[in-house]
Amino acid sequence: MGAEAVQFALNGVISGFIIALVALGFAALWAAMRIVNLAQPSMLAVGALVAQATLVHGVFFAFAAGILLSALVGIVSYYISVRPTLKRDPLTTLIATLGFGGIVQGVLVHIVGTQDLPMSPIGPVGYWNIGGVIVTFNALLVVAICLLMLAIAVAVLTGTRLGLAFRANAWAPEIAQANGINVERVRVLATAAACAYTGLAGIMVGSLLGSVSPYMGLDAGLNGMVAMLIGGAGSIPGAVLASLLLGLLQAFTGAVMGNALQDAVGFALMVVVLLVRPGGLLRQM
Amino acid sequence: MAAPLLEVHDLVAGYGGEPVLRDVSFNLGPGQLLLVIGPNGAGKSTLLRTLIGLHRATSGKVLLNGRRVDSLSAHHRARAGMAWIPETRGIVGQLTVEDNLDLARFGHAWKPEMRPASLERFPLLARALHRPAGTLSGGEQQMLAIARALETGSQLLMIDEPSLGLAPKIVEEVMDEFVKLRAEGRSILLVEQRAAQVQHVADAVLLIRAGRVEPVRDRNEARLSELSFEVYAGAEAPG
Repeated sequence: MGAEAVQFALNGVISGFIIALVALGFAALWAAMRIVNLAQPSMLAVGALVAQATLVHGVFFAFAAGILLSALVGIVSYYISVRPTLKRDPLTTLIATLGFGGIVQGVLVHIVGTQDLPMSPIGPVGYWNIGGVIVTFNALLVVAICLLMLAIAVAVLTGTRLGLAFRANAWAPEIAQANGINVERVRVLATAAACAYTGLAGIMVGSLLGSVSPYMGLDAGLNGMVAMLIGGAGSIPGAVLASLLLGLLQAFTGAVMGNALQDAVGFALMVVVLLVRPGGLLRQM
Repeated sequence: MAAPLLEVHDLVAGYGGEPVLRDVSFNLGPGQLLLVIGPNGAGKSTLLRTLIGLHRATSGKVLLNGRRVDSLSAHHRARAGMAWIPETRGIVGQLTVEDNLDLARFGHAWKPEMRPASLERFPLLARALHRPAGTLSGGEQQMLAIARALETGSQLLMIDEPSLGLAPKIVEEVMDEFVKLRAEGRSILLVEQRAAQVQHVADAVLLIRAGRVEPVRDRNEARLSELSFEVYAGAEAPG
């Protein structure tokens, strides 16, 4: 029982970190412009499919290509579906971004078809067996990359001029502008970064599952959004904390009650948190 | 007289319906303090918001150092050398005092040497650098806003009702600061009703009523307080 529980916890933490990459993107976009970009989850599939297709050129190339293209598609989503609708009501932006996400998915289906494509692990093949708990090198690499990317996000936000521009804009866009901050540029960069992180999450998911498809954005995208709301809209530490919580909860639910209920439990947690603490676990940054 | 730092010609601005500002024109020279008075709702805040570029003018020209800035967006105007302190003080309460000061780095002509100078000028900020700016008192927040505006290196400071919500003694301190800044050669556009202290140093007084600049008959000290009273009374009178 002991080893089994540890294994579930470990799996939960791994998927929690991946959710965190997506949730971080949602939180960043909320902080930057008070919107949810529903095209963002499509970048999971963009990142994963591009990486899968370019893996023959080496892991680094595949990562770079997947992340860059995700950021690029994200920037296009900003100019096509966010910027023109930002001054209208938020629902318009929500629907426009949903539409853009649908286009991205449609294009991906057109290119690669609907079937799952096999993807080899990004890390070296092999595993450790620590007292009955299996830790694959691949999973370890995934966690290491997630930690590194989260650390980079925190370092940029708290330690750089760009991070200050981002934080000032999150709280007081007019004050930021009147101080010489180009709010438009902050929004574009936030979108690019959010989509790059989501694309990276897609590569991680593909590597862990061993397969990729144009539809892979749905689960992780939904989980990322749920985690963002649980953590407190716009709160980056909150998003990470909630993602880990969600990953753990889902892993144990899956083990005890079956996979079908995993997502339901996530939503249940969200409803409870929003009822008890409407602002989420942690408020914004 | 030296060329004006700020020139405003026939500025018209509004929010869709009737214009809030009608043909507002004035000049502000280097090292001058222009006091803007007028009843509530006369368009004083709209004037400052339009000058910094957060609100689009319908027509008219704004020149800074002889250069047109009226088609620039707010962040470009800030970088061109305009600093704006709104009624709400314009500090970001959730960020630390230091972060708020650091916002000056995006401004006109920030230099690292400016930080020690502003901490020397406002020692209370040095003691509170790592506190969230929102925990400062109203007067301290105003000092922080001024310190940041100075660190941007902007020659033009546009300040909206700095006395709002401050105790009379603190208002005095804040006004003294503006008198000092003028003496140091900054140009100040000050929207203020409780301006007894700056009246005698103000180089000019701009009375705005219902969006128009009205002639100020006599701007010597004694008469100005009467004028302010008249302005308030005028707000209630029809027409």
